[in-house]
Amino acid sequence: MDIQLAQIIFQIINFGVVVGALTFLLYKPVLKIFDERAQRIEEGQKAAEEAIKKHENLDQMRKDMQTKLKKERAQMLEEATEEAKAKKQEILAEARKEAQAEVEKIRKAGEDEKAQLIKDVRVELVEAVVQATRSLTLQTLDAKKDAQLIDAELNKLLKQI
Amino acid sequence: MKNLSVKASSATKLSNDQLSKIKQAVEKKYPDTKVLVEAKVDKSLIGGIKLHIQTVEYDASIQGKLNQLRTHLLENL
Repeated sequence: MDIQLAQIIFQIINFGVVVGALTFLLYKPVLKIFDERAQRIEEGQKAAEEAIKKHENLDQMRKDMQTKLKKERAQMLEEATEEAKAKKQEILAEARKEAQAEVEKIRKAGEDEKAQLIKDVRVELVEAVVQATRSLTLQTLDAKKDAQLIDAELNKLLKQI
Repeated sequence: MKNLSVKASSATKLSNDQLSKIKQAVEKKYPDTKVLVEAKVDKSLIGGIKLHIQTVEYDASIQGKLNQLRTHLLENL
């Protein structure tokens, strides 16, 4: 079997043409597709990383907001508690004051009632004494004694004139 | 001469002696006046005598003394 140079060269050229055609028609488009795919994956990864980062930021913001709200709620609760305590003290003081005033009023009414009773008894007693004296005088005073009394009183009265 | 009216009230009728005693005493106090003593019986006086000379009242009646007793007891009891 002879080696034919022309045939070898033809085969080489033929092979080169095939390689060139394959390179141009198949390898480059496939490579381009791979590159595009790799780029899309890379972009997707970047987007995912950004989304994760954004999510982490949002999560941090949410935590910060929760902490802030918790603090505000605690402060509001504390303020409300203090206000309620002050109000309670105020109401208690007012109630105590009103109760004391009521006790004082009742005590005063009792004292007034007692004083009035004593006064009434005193008036009745005095009236009883006066009436008894009057009755006794009426029983014992006759015309003669009255004349003597008038004489005695006239002596005193006429000195005053 | 000016007239001066004296009202003398008592539970029993005043004697002439008592009336003239009143008249003399008032005339001595108010000279140059004609004293007219008006006697009046008032049983509510109980006893004693009450004189009205012009606007002044001299109360020596039992009722007056009872009133004084009432006032004194009410003020001091």
